[in-house]
Amino acid sequence: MSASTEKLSRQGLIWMLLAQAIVLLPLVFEVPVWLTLLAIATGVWRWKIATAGWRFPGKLARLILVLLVCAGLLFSFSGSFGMQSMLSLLIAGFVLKLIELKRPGDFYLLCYLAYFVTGAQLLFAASLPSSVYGLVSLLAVTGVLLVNNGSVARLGVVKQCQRLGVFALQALPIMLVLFFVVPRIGSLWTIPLNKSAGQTGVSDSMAPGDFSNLMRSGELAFRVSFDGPIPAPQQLYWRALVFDDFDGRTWRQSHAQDVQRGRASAQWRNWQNAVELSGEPISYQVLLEPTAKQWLYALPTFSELPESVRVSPGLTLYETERVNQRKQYRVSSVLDYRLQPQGLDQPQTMQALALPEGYNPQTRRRAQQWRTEATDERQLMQRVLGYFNQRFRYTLQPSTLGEHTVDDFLWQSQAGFCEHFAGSFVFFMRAAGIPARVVVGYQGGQINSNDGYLVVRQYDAHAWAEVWLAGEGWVRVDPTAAVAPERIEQGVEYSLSDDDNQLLGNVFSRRFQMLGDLQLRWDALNYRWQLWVMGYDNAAQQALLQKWFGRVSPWMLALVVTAVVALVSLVVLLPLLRSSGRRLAPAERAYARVEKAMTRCGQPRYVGEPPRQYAARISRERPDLADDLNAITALFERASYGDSKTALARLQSAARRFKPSRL
Amino acid sequence: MQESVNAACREIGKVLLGKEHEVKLALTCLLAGGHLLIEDLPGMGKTTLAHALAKVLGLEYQRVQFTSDMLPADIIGVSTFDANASRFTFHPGPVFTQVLLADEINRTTPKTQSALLEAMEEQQVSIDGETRPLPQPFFVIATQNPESQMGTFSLPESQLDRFLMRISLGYPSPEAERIIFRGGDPRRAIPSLEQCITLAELAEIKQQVRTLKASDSLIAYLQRLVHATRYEQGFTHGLSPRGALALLHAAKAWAYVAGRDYVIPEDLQAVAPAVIAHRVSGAEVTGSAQRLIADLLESVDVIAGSVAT
Repeated sequence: MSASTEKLSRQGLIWMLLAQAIVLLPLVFEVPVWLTLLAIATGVWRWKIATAGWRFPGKLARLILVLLVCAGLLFSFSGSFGMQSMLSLLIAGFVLKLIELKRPGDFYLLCYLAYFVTGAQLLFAASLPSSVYGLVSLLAVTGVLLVNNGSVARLGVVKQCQRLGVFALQALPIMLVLFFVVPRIGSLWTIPLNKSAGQTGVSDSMAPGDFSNLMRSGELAFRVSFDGPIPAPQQLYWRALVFDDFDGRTWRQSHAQDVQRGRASAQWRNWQNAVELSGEPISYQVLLEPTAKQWLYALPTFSELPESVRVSPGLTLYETERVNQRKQYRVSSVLDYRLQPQGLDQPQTMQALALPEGYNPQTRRRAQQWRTEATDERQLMQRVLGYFNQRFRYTLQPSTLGEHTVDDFLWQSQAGFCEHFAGSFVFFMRAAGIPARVVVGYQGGQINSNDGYLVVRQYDAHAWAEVWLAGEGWVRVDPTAAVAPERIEQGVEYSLSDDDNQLLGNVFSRRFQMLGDLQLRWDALNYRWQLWVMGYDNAAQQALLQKWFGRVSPWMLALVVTAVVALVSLVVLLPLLRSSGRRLAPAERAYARVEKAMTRCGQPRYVGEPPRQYAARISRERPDLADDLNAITALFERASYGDSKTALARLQSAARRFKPSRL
Repeated sequence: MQESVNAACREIGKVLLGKEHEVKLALTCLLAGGHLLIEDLPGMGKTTLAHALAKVLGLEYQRVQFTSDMLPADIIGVSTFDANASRFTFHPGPVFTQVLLADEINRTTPKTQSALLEAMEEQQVSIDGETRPLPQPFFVIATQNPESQMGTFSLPESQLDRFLMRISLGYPSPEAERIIFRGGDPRRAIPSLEQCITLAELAEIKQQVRTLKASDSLIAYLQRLVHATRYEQGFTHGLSPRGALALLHAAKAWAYVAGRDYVIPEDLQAVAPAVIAHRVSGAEVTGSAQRLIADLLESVDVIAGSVAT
């Protein structure tokens, strides 16, 4: 065993195992449990090899292990090809290499693998804490490399840490250049990230009870930064989906399939002609958490939209792809608008009046009765909302509804929340012959006073109604506001009884002021990170470079990058160049020629090997070269150290003649 | 004159079996005019080597066994009042000799150590305001136990620096040890050792060593080594200019012993462990310093800018 492996097996090994644990920790949840156990087992095994004299596994044992692991992977992922399975394969290799860790070469391989695995950490989480953790992992692995380096190994811990810090600082400028300047290259291929579809959020249908689950979640939905002041809460209706299809229990989009399949009919190309805007637009930026759905959230109606975003016939926004990663988009909206005031065409009217046969007979009768009693549509609406206001209760724990959901709700239980109010209101309107539809999305949000942005959480999910009135177009009517106006004005938690409030997400942080405040601050930090670091995409890069350098051409960019890289490498390499940059004396030049020839035939001189020792070693290894080399060495010594002119001349001619043959 | 040096080596080899390299180093140290520190466990032949050296150089020698209750006067000497002559007369101590064997120098107090070390540096002693030169040549061959041993006062860096070399003998080889076991104590042979180098020859050698050639290429290598001790290797502190000069001087003496009139890198490498170790690593254990120096010699290029990998 050579000295270098000896060193490795003690202190270095401890650090290696430690670093490996640090690197693997966040990935434990992404890989099968048995892989974690394997990692622990190999770690213990390697440790016992170093301390208790256990043996390295033989060839057969290794082969069996590899086959077992492969079988395990196949079994765990049932042959599916995805990010998790690839990651598991990588990690399996990473931990198995440990029990093969003998030579310094293995050690370096393991370290470089550790860097790679550190990169893989960020595939699953790109938040601020996970980035910081990634940095820690990176430092740990670099530390291991340092600790096992000959000269650094003997320094004290403080000096080693200093060295590590210097390394990190030296890497910083390169990191900044890579981050700011190097173009973001799209992935050449993608591996499906088969993450479980446990995303909460507004779904593409609405049945009684759906929303109450959503309300129990305090998870982040999206965050909004307004360019100007934040509009009043009553105006913050974040529109996402329009449900105009009712089957007696569930509300759906009539064009849902078209959107999913990317059909042309899903898109409303000339929507701009159908809206009348009045008033100034307000601009804002939305940072949407991944939803695994296609739709986006915005305030109606829009004056400016991002290019990739489409508008559906319900005046909602959607993407052609599902939002699987945090998405950032900018919208300008005009809050004062009229939608389709000119009138609806025949199919639209039909859709907005359609009701399933045989459901809720009581409501249908009552609607027709009220319709005849009312002078106009507005008066009828007022009567219904008034009825809500007098009799109804806003609660997250409604009693279960029977087959005729609207009948049960309107005339019996009379307690529920937004989806009940919106659904039954629209049903009632349709039954009375007024075109109506359900709109869902989020309402309101919490203002983070630390940074002046709006945080919208899952419990802000809301459903409301739209009614089409001649001459006015689609008018937003929020029946929930009639029952619990504070829901709209102050937020959902102010509209509920204490009992109900318990059900709402984030109970603790809402209950305790300080905790809530801390949460807001933490959220503000995260938001900034996501906006400025994670959100630094190609467009942001272009904009920044434009600001710095004026108009940027790819050539210019390449030039800057090359210049910076050259400068950095020059600074790093200069001391190295200087130390060996002495001009060679004539004798040394002649000897260098000999050395070059020897290197070419595979017999280089070691760095610290004096010529005479070198010649003696070569004489043993290559007796055929012994005479020539001994003669040259003797001449070199006399020329270089004895300053003999005649020896120099003879050395030069001998060096020119020296042509060692390869074996 | 090289023959007489080699003869001296052979003579000492009779009492110190199988230690050719160490003997040659010790002799080189004295030929360079430097003081020698021999560090080893008790019973490894330190005193034997010191004795034999004095003997083959034909020098007058004194041996002092250092103890913890020793005073400076015990080494340097004292002035006493002579009632008959009614004046002070100086009674010179053991330091007034050509070779002083300072046995177990780290057993005595720093005060006594520094009195001796002053004599080593100045080649003279001052007593009662009077400066008295020491005989020429004046060598100190000190021995010491490794500092981890009980009851020792380790020499500070500044005093270690006064010794040109620090060597340790180490265990003898099995063959040598077998001969020792068969033939009895080799120390008995010391009185029969012959003088190989005369006083005049010694002075001549010292002169020649001083003027031995060190070419630019060699100086460049020396500088690379020194630079590495200061900035690259893990030494506690680097080699001082005086240390570097000592290294070059010792290498010259080594080259002289090898019969060359110029210094080659091997000479520097041969003496480097003995010259550098006690200068760069302070009170550190010898073993780790030796390993550092081995690394140093391995990693510093002998011929700069060559294609070596």
